[in-house]
Amino acid sequence: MSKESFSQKAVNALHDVQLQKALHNIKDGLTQTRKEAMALLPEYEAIRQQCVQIKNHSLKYLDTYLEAYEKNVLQAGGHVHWAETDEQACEIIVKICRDAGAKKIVKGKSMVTEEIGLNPILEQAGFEVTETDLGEYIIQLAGETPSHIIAPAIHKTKEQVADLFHNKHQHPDNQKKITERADLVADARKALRQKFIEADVGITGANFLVAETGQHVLVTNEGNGDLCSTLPGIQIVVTGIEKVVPTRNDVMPLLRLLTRSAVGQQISNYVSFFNGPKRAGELDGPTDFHVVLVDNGRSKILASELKEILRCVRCGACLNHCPVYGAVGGHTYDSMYSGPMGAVITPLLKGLEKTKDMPNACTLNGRCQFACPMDIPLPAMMRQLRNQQWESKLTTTRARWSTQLWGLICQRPKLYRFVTAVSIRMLSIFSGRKKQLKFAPFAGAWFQYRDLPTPESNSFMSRWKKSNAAKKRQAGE
Amino acid sequence: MQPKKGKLVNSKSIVLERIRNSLNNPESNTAVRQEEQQVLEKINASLRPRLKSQNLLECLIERMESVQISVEIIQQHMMITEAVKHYLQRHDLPQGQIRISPDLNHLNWPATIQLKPGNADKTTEVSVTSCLAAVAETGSLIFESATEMPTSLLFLPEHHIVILEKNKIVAHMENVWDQLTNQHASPRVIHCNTGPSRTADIELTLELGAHGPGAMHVIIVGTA
Repeated sequence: MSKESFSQKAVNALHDVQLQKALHNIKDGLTQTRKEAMALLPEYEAIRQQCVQIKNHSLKYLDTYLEAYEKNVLQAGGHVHWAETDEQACEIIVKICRDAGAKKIVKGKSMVTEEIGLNPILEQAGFEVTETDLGEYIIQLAGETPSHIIAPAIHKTKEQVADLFHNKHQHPDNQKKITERADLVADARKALRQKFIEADVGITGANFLVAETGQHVLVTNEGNGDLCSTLPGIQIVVTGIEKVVPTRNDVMPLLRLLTRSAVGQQISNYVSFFNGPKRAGELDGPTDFHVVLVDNGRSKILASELKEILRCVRCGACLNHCPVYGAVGGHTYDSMYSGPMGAVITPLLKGLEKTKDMPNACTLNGRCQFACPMDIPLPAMMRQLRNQQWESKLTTTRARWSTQLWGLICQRPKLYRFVTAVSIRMLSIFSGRKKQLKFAPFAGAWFQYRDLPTPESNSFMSRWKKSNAAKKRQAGE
Repeated sequence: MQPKKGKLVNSKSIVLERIRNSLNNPESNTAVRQEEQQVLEKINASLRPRLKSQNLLECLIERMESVQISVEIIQQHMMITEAVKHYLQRHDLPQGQIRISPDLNHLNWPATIQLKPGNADKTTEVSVTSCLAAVAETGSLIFESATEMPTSLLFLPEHHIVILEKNKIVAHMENVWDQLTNQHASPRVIHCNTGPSRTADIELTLELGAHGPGAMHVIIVGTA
């Protein structure tokens, strides 16, 4: 965790011109394409409720389905490892790689491996690790962390990527810097193709696990996850325990909404159902197949009031629709999970003390729940986390003091009316007959970035009284 | 860093124990669970996106073209090799070293096209494969790994040409699962590929040919 606070980082992010440009792309791009895709699916709401039912059912019998999944993986000739913590998951993976005498590892994009901090541990253990999703590859070269769960390098501009490739790729000395987007993609393809061919181990995540067959489902657009699972001799799948569903048919409605919600595509280019190592006589596929099932706090979440977050399929729609994420970007959150889903899941995984600002980085506008294909009540969950903070006295003194004062006033109707009447009068004096209020005492920080419409000269209650009195008079006449 | 074996075997029971404590349904009833699952299955069977028209071929082609798959229809099997030859010529591709899935070996390949058996490697530019099915809902092509279907053919080449028998078109992916239910052993992998490989990881702008094929061409065989 970095030392800077959420609000310090938010200020930096707001002044970062490049980042603001990149974040603007989300609004014009992803939210719009999602909207168009949903308009073409009249069954959307029905499928959404179906998905909620499937996920709730799977979580309700999580132990049963995980055991069935394990049994079927073993039957297909694979190995299943259970990890209680992030540390244990990393230990297991390092051991598999060491036992196989591996040196080079290629990885598909996996948020769980970010969560357990796998890459630095593999590197310390002496392995060469290459991320192969283009976005992940870019941030790996830059030594950064993902700023969006589905578009990890969304904060980078084309020019920054061009500089990065020019410095890090081994080009002939006299080669000019590549600047066109298509050429940059081709350049990365070439560099990574060699890595795929040389790799001893391929590590990916999984989008879903199927209990009845022991399959795991991998969804990508680039095809990198498939190459990671096809070429190296050893395949390792790292995934959270909440990803299991009963049948292959249960995967389909989830898939229908996953990619539409993420980027507005009907389906991702590559959806693959893997099941164990290569069969006798096959030319491609790994000889060793391992799954690492990661708990790392999920079983605890299952008992909490906030267990609905375990329905999350990591589509990123809540990030794309969040005005706070849209203003400050993913790095401000100081977690691989950012935006609304990150603000709920990170405190649950890391503890409320370490993540105090997260549930408060929300305007409770409700757009995240509206966009969520799993109908997760994210705003209510953030309110719940704020309650928990209050109860465990993690709220700042200033916030406690002002909330208590507010509570004191609004429990006394006469006092409340008096205070609001006075403050409305004050505010209209401050505005000096202009339509926008630019400053008010004790709220300088708030007004630094915002204006307030000038309030009407009297309160609702006083107008209500007046209009009632007028009606009575009319009735009396 | 070397965990003891006993510790890890133990981890399974610890994780499952934690889950069971959290779920707190002490007598998790199999009959109830199966009943609930049957309700879900019924919904799954009835709730599928409606296709634009009854004509599966029409829907399929529309979807495929919207994801940059090029499509051509031929009447007979004997025209497949000619169609492949023309594709290579159109795209100025060398006629040597084409990799094909072994089940297409028996076709009347002209001597000018040099076939290489086996899986793809980094020099493979073009592959020609059959497929298990095509899904009209999404425009997807389904492939099943087998000795006759080395899956590297689907990902390493720059151009992937797919031969699709018209009678293999189904409405939804669920129909593919129905077909596979009676199979004895599950294949190592089932791939559902929908168009050339793509990425939008630089400034959210779409580029084709990220890691997999940059071009996908489907030759549909059968009378319209």
